[in-house]
Amino acid sequence: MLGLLGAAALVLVTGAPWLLPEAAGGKTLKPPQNVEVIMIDDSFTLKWNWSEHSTTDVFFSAAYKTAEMGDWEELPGCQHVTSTTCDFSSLETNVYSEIQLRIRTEEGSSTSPWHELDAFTPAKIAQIGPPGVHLEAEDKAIVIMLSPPGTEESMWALEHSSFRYNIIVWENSSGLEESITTAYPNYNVYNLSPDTTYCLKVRAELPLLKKIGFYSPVFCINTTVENKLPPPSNIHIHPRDGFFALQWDYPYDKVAFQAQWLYAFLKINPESYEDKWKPIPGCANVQTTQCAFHQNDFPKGIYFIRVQASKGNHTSFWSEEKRFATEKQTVIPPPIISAKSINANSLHVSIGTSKDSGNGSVDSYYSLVYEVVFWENSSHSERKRLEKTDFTIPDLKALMVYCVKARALLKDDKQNRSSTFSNTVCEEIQPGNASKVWLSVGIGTALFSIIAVFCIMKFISECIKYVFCPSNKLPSTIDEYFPEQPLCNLLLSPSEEQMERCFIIENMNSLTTVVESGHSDGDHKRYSSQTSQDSGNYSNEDENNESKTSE
Amino acid sequence: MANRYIFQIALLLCITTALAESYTLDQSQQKSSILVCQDLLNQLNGSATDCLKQRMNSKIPEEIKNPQLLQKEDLVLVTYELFQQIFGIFSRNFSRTSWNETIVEKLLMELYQQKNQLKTTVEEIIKETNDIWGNKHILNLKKYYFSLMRYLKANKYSSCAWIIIKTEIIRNFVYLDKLISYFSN
Repeated sequence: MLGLLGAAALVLVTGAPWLLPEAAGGKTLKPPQNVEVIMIDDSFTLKWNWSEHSTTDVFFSAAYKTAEMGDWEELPGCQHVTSTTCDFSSLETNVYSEIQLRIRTEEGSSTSPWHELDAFTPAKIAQIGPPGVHLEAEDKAIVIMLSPPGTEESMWALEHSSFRYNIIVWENSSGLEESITTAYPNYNVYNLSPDTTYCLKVRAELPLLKKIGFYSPVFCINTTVENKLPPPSNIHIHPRDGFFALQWDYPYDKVAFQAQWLYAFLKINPESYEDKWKPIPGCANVQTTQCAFHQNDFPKGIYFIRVQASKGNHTSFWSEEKRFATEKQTVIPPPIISAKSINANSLHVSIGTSKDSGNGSVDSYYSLVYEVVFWENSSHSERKRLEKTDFTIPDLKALMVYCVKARALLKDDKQNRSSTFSNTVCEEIQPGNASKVWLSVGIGTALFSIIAVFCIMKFISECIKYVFCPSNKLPSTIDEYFPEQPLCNLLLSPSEEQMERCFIIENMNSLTTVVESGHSDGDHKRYSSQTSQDSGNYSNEDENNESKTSE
Repeated sequence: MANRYIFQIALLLCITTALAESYTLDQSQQKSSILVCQDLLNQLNGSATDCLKQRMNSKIPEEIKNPQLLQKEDLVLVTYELFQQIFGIFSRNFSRTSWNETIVEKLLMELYQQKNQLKTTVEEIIKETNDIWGNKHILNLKKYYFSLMRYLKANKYSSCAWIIIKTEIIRNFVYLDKLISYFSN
């Protein structure tokens, strides 16, 4: 008995479905068929078919389970429903977690087996519904304000800023269509005709999730009559010496203008940002079609700018919004360079950074390469290399002065940003050991050759003296009358009229001593002599022009 | 059959590698941006010691804490997702805190710019891989950030809830920085 009871209890506990109908009286209840989950934004619907005939009321109940849960729980909104559809939108679940659903039929106290659906990720199967559309008309533009599908904390809570909107606008009468795709839920359509009816429909897309939503219903609006004052056009912004110059075009003068700015990230926020526009200091009320504002007022970022004209009580509509991105001035401090000639014909260069880098920690994330410029001091022909911080420039000319400077560049930077050049360092290149030897040999050879030449010259001059200027010893008696007159005078100084001194011996008996005069102009002694043979004058023909004989 | 897909697979590998390579050039900029964000977050006042009673059970996915579980090609998508989601969180209503609005605006601007810069690369990757739902790292990240959003909503965007979230986000940036460093070698 106990065993039987136990077995029955066991069977009941395991819930073998094929037993239950028998307990109920033999009828097998069929579970719902063709069960479908439909999720559009935050609306979750379960749909099924049930085509069996029944005398009594039939109910349906559903349950769900996620990976985090241990057991099945009742699906809210789908308990004991009579129709073949139920809404379980109130279910709070992580839409990126897999969820399992099951549903069964209930009739009286009997239930059908569970019909279990395959597990699915809600965000994956969900469809994007139409966005909310609000329109405002200007004379030549339509202001479209869209709200993204779903509520803020729902299915698309994580994708709010990823929506892309596709707007189809057409003129009601002509049917000319324009298709616009924008990331901004607040979008203005420009260049329209005043006082015309335009219609549009919008759909939202999530390109990264590969989802395209349903189109909204068609909305139509009339543009207003043309405004007296047109909005400014052709806005452009130029950076200029610490300022930004904002300029625009306007057909009329004697008009006042004001300019406003907005953070770009607010434009992708669907909330109305109309009150978030702020006036640009320096451009709040200007009479010209331009104004300037400080670069410091706009830290690095992306902004939008718009301008409005006013004259008296009339104001124009706002101009087209101009997107404006300020670039961060990446300040790269110039490096500090030092150079020293250590080895033969080369220069060792060291590049360092200055200690006082103001935006220190940020810049240390940039990897730098260095452009080194060096040149011979005399020739000024520059050469460049890209190097690391410690290197040697080889193959330089010894004893020449080379100058070096360097600047830092951001590695692989598309904008080629760089610092200013460092200090210039000039160094004389020391000759190497090999060239030192050659140098000393050269110097030695030069010295030697100078000495050699000097000796040779001296020797030659000695030779010349020896050959052309011999030293003759005359007898002492003549010698006392003839002072040593080197004969080389004849050769070496021919310009002087040299007179040979002659002694004429005429009379051996009476040797008259004529006092010799040392003049070279030709007085000569005459010695009388009886030798007839010897009479006569012995004189040099050349110099005998003025010879005089005196007795 | 396999031959048909070899070309596609090869092309996919080439493109993702090329994209991964071109991505590495901006990593120094991303790291400096992370520093800026952390600095701004630290300027938002309020300490977690006042909010010990509040607890948040959401845990950042393991692969963010542990870069070895990720592939280099995942880095772009993961970085984009983090910037995108943190931007989304701080776009919400923080009026119940005493935070300086200007600081939050600066933070949003920085996140917006980083997001924008990565967007084209991410779009190209998605076009090629054709299925973000198959990427379980991104799914885990979305699960995590969804739970953070839910936490804020459930606590009615109270000051304490925001402070807990802020502390969690600061930790997120530490992990992201580690990730980028890990893959830049």
